[in-house]
Amino acid sequence: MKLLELEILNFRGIRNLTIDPQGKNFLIYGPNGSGKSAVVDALDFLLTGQISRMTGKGTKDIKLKEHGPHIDYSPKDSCISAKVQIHGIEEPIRIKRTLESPKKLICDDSIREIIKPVLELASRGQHVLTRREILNYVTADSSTRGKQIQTLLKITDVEITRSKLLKVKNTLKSIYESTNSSLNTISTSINVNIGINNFNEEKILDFINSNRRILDGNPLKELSSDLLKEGIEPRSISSENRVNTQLLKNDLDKLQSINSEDNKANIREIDLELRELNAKISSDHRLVDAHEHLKLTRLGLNLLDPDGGCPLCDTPWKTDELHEHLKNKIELLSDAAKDLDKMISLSDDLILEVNNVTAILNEIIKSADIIGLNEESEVLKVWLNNLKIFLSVLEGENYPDPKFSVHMVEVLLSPLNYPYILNNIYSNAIESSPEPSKEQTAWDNLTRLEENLKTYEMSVKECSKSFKSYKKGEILYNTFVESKNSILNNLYLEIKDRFVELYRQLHLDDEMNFDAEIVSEGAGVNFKVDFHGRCVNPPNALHSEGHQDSMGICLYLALAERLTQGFIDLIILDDVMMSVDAPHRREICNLLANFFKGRQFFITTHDQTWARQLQTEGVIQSKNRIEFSNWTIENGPSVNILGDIWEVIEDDLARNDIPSAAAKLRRGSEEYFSQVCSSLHAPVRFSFSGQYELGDLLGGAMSEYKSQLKHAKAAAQSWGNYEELEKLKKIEDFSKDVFTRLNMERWAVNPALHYNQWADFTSQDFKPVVETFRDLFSIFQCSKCGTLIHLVINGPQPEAVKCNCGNINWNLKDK
Amino acid sequence: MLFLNIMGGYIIEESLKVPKTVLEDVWDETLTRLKENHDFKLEAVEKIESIVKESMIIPEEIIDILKD
Repeated sequence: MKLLELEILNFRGIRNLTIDPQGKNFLIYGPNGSGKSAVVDALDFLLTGQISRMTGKGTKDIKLKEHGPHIDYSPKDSCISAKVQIHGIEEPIRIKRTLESPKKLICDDSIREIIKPVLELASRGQHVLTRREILNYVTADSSTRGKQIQTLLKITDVEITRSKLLKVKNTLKSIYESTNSSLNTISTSINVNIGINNFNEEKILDFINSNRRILDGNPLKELSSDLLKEGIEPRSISSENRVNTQLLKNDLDKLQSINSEDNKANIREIDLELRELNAKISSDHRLVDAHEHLKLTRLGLNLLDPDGGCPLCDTPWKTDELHEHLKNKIELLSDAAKDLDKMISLSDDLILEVNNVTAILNEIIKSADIIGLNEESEVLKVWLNNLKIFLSVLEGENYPDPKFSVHMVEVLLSPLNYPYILNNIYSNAIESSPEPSKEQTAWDNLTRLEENLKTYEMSVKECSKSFKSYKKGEILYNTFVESKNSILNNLYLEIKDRFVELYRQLHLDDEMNFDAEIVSEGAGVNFKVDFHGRCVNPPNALHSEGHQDSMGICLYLALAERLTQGFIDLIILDDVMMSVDAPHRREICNLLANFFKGRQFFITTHDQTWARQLQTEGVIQSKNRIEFSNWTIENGPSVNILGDIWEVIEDDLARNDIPSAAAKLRRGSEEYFSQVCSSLHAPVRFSFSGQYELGDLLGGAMSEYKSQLKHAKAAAQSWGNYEELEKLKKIEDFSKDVFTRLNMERWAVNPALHYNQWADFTSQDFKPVVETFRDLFSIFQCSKCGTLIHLVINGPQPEAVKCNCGNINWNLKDK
Repeated sequence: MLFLNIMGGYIIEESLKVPKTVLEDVWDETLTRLKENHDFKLEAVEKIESIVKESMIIPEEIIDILKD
């Protein structure tokens, strides 16, 4: 798609503007705040229905309908329309969008489907490069450069998706860890009930089979809650109010054993050691830091993105580099690790004690409930609840907690007043329930285990399911990252050669052998560039900001060219030129003019030199350049359409408006010859204010021209190139004639000439003046490519005078 | 090339359809690889596919699919 015409009405800072690029490169020049970017916003809005600058970070309170229209107008008065040329359709098409219905593109129904891909591609924004993006790229440090490159290349959505998938993986991992913890708790309950220390299926089966044997059941070979009572029957009539006093006695005995002096001493020792270690660490802030670092580093290692990125801040690292870094840090903290591991082990011991008491208490509470001892049951439930709180403190990061002193922990794990309550439960159980037979106890043992096993089996299923989900999350994440690296590396490979070619073109003088590496790595991009064949480094390591600037532009141009091919020929460069120096800007002009044939550049700039260069180097034709100035709220920018100077002067002459024609000729000549002097490195008397009279500029330009022409003739003579010599002589004859005529006519553009004196002139009088200047302009310009001739300097002496296309090429070097 | 049909509308050739974004390309390759992975049910891959075709992913939706 190319832009032929654009009309902006009451949009942002613009009241009414019509421009007419006709599919050619277009330039808007003007100071900051003159409304240039509003034109870019208008194009953005026309193609996408939104204004990119008004979306994203920091734009929460900015609304399209409220802030899009000109401040004095409503959305219904604000619209953008354009005539565009679409690939494959001969006739240009008209499109329009209003701020009243931003989502609706107004166009002929027959072209709606054709323009759809163009609009979709435009919504990706790859055809627009802004100053802010280049600035962010240039000022990025090494840790954020990868992200800035992705922003520059408009592919941040890939990184956002990777980050979301990492969250998926880590959430599923947490769920798995939680189910695994539940499985451990129920395993402990089973262990406590059958009196083993570690979960062991064989021992559990032995326990089951010994009870089944009592009930004349066949031994089981497989541990399953469904099979536990297979083929056996209860030996007594079940009663809802019956408690198995034998099992209750066993529970009370186990609790008593926990309450034994030996066990109490053991628990006290564990708790004291844990507290001492904590106190030792807390008293020394360096140790606190070391432990905090260690915990964080271990967590980081555990959550490490396999692609190398930091799980905490998403900073990209080289694959395995962060892993190694964290491992090294952990090694350095080996003393802290000893203390931390000891604390974890002591804490686990206490957790085990708490789980044991909890498992027994649960069974005793069930018995108290069955025989209706509600008061006792409630007291035990309070104890159970306190144990749960203590457990959460132990599993958390806040132990020792002021609520749980050494004495309190002792009391909690073996309360002093509970023997009375427990005895009461037991004596009531004996009174209300008959003494169980051996068979009844076997049956009740199996019933209790059946319940625990069901929970255990459910936990195993949950754990297995959550593990599979976690693994799927991991596979999904890893597959995405592998695919991302593969796709991006292919893309980077495709654009790398073009990037290098463009950059070399810009820096022919100093980096002809420039090379680069662009590789997708981790969460970002590993972008390294060659520095004069000496070493390969990130762009900001040794290159100047100007060089980095041009790298950003080349990288963007290479990618935009690749991604918008065939759909959007329009590339918008919104005030992107910053620290690139004048000679390299000239090369950028050359790049835009010669390396992107068929593309239409829409350029805005506040930089006058760059604006001039774009014109003198043939990127922008004079009629496709406008100047914004004197912006006001009510009227927007004043627009000076710097069209073809000869056309506008002809118009003035046709109206017999000689003063206006003379003013335009003088102003245009000043502009033109300041560019000529710059191109030819012509000597001009220095003016501190930067303002030069046309006389100064003309003198400098003509004298340099004559001097170089003389050198060119001498050089042609020395090489015996008589054909070239003849050509140069003809050029000389023509220029002599023009210069002579100029000396006769130049008074006419003298600024000192009083306005009233024009009254005596007619168009016929002024036409020869215009003709002379027109011929004068032609001397300094190639008739083929339209660019100004410029001096090629390579070493101490000028080497040649050339135009951009090579049609003019005067050798200045003698044999 | 575009052709005008008898109804007055244009027929768009495949080559003139908008190219995929980099993210779409990455998802295409990811989903193709997942379809070949025996740890993933085709149904789950298809659900993910339908989500990514519509918009940016929401982690909770993906978690629900992977939990099934």
